[in-house]
Amino acid sequence: MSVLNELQNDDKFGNSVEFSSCKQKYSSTLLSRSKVSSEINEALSLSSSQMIIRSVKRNVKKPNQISGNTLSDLNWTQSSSSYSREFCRLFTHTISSKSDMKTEIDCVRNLINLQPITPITNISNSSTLFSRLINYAIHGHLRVCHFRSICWRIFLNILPNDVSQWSKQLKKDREYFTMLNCRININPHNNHIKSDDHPLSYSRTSLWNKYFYSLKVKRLIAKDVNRTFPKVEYFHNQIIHNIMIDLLYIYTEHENISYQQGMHEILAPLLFVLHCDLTAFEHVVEMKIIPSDLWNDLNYIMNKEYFQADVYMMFAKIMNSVKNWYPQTKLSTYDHDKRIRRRTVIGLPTAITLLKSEANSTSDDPEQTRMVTNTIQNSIDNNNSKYFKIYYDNNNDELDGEDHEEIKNDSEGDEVIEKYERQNEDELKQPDCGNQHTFHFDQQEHSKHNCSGDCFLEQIHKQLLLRHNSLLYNHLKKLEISPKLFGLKWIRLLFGHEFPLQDLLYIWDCIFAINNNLAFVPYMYLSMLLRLAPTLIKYEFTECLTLLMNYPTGIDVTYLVYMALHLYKPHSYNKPSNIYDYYSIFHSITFGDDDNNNNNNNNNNNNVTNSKTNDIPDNTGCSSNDNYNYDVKTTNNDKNDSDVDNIDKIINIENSYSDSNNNVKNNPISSLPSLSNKLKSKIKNARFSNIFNSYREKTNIDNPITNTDIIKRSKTFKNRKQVMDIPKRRSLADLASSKKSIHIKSNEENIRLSDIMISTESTNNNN
Amino acid sequence: MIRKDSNIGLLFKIVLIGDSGVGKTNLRSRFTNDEFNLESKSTIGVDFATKNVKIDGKVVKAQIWDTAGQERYRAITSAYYRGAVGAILVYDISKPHTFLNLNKWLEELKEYASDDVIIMLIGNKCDLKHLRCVLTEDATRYAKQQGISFMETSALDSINVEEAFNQTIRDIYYLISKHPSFNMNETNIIPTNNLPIQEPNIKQSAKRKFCCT
Repeated sequence: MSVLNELQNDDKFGNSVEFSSCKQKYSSTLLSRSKVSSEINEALSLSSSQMIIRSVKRNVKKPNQISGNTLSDLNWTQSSSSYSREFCRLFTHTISSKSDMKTEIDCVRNLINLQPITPITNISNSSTLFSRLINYAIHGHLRVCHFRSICWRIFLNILPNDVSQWSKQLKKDREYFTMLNCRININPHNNHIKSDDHPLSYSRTSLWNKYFYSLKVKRLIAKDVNRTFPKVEYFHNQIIHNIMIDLLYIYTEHENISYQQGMHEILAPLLFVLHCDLTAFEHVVEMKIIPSDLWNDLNYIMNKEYFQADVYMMFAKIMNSVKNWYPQTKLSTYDHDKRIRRRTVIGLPTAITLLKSEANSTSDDPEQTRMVTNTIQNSIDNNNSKYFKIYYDNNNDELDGEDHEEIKNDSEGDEVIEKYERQNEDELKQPDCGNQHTFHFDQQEHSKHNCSGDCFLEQIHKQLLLRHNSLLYNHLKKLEISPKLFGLKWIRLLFGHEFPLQDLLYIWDCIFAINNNLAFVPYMYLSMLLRLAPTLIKYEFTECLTLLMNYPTGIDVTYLVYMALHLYKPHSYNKPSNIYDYYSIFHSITFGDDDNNNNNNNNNNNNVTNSKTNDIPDNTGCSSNDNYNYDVKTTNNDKNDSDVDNIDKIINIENSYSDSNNNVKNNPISSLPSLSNKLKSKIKNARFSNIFNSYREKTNIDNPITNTDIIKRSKTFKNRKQVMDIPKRRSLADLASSKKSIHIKSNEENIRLSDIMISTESTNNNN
Repeated sequence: MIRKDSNIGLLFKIVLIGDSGVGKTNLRSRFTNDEFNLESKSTIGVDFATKNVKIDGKVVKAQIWDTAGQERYRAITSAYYRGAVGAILVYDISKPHTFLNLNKWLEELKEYASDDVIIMLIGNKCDLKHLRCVLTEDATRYAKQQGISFMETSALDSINVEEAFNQTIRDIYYLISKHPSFNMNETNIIPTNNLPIQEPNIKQSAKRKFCCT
């Protein structure tokens, strides 16, 4: 508790970290948005009265969904009449079902200095919530969101989809963590259980022996914790170090595994994200922007006293999947290690007595006593066999003597061999979960020695890399570059050493959103390899391995994520089109590989005809029917179809801009028929990928900005104004005139704001 | 592993081993890039760097392989030690348990590396004079018993780092040059690897012979 009280003094530190990053993001686009924000304020004020009427109708239609735990619409409408700022919240409440609108309003509110309300509490339908959160995470909108930790816990199934059950689930998890903390993290200085116990005693049931063992393990963990994210100032704090050491120690003792280097890299971003969300919540409370009903809900969720428990639950859930890639409990080859390990296990009965004493203290509540006794029985049953084995080992040690430490005896050597054989048998019986879920192939036989990620990497190379880029696969095999030399670091840290922290959090958004036992990780791995494939094929052993071990930092993360999504589900996510793709095709032709030439010809034909064929496995094009079905799944509400159609019209215009640029540059002959085809297609996800990738690649490729570039950008700005004035479709001649236009990120956001204008018009028409 | 690159004549693989936190990564970065980081991340898996060294007028390319001190696992170590002609054992003079664990690392070397690997013992962090826990005489005596060379370094102050690596590379070069099949005058000849190497896996040795021929 004292540690957490000191954390409250560091609020200013946390605030500076978070809001400075927000300022950096928005400083470049403040000028363009300040013009548009005034128009939005007018739109919001005009439509406020209509929104109130609409909310009353919604109350009449759905009376059953009103509950005391969640926000009720009646209270919402009453509070909105008294405050001018409540209009924005009400507006977001009614349109919260649309993800695109929501993100726009969040951006606008940051300009108006309003904090966004959590979209989760406003929706009772859980299926739309979960699918919408996945789209949030994939398109990178959680970077700005102040509720990232809540979204991660929903993805990891720590919090249920139903908002009303969050407090119950959190209460269970936090009580479980406090029980673990009391049982494992024992400090004899604070306890007065046994008067006979002495700090220098050598008995194995002594709490002091266990305490000194824990200090030794924590000293080992501290070596790595002190070297966590050295460039991030948040992790230079000693209080954070102590929290990390305690959480890592509790996890390793509870799971009965030894600490491995790399686990601290998994824990650190979770601390960072939760701390940012807690500081944002405290800032909102200080400003008194938040209404009282929402404060009551979030005060228990965003409670700093339970900081360690919330982080531990996320960490334990992630490590249960990542644990397969770490070496399991290692065999002890020294007698000294054996004694230490025995002490930890023998200490359990004393911990169980602690639990019994707690059960006696809570005798007033019968339910809690039952829960505590059940946990005690479970722990006794789980550890019963180990306890008796170690008791049998004690007799042997008494003959030898406690203080005498020899390296090996013959009998102990035999025991080690038997344990090793048992572990081999257990592993054959229990195959790796990772291979089952991530690949849709029959599981192959295990090798007898410990796999721990090695077989997983081999399967990625054999099943995925050989299929997508056999040239790179054969090249690495020829150079004898084993994937475990670089790949183990990638997957054990979930790409933590390869990317800066802000980009890493976006990758983890996608990994947790597609939470099928971390099914996204091998495709992200493959995407990173394919991105470097043209340069790796040229290089020899030394340059290849150096490049793979020190992944270049200039690569666009968004491209890698969208490429990985395409590799994961080719029918749902289109391949991100990029100047780089044509560059890679050009390079593959120069190598003179006939298969690649045939594939490229097929891809070019698909681009022209826009038809789908199942024969080609690398087909990147999707028909309009599939896109339409995908859109229907994401938005189940029938009322919003008209709005979606209006949005799609603008999306078509937007795609035509980006596609026309790419086609004119790369395929001058077939530019006109492809334009007509792509006007018909509705690609929702491609809009983001095209705009982001085209912007970022050009910034990488372009020389320092010249006067002609400035003139071109001003021209595009004028063209965007024309788009806002004319919402209808534009003719082919107008599209051809905009060949040389360059997409700028701020212009893309202007188009998003124009979506709001059109949606408000459509709602007025409906009313 | 003696391999001929397209540009450079000889390629020596040298591995760095030792406990976690003794300064292996900073030794490597000091030798290859002349850099020292007080804020360095923990090495996960394997790290890798190269540098060219001139010996007797000939250019030798040294591959310095760095690994995590805590990771002692067969899946990685077998690939890590394969083809290594030099090994550098590192301990921290301010932490005596890192010196006591050297026996464990030597056993690992004997198990996975070739028999004629050149071993250098390095006591790092000699700038921490007030925190010294391992005497130089004790380390020298231990090195003589094991038949390996010894040197104390400081990656922070750049003391003896260059000398330690250069001595290891020079010893490797002289060992190879003593072999009769090696012809020093003719640089075009690729030296065949006829040195007696005992590998735990027969398949790997078969592959190596195929690669050398």
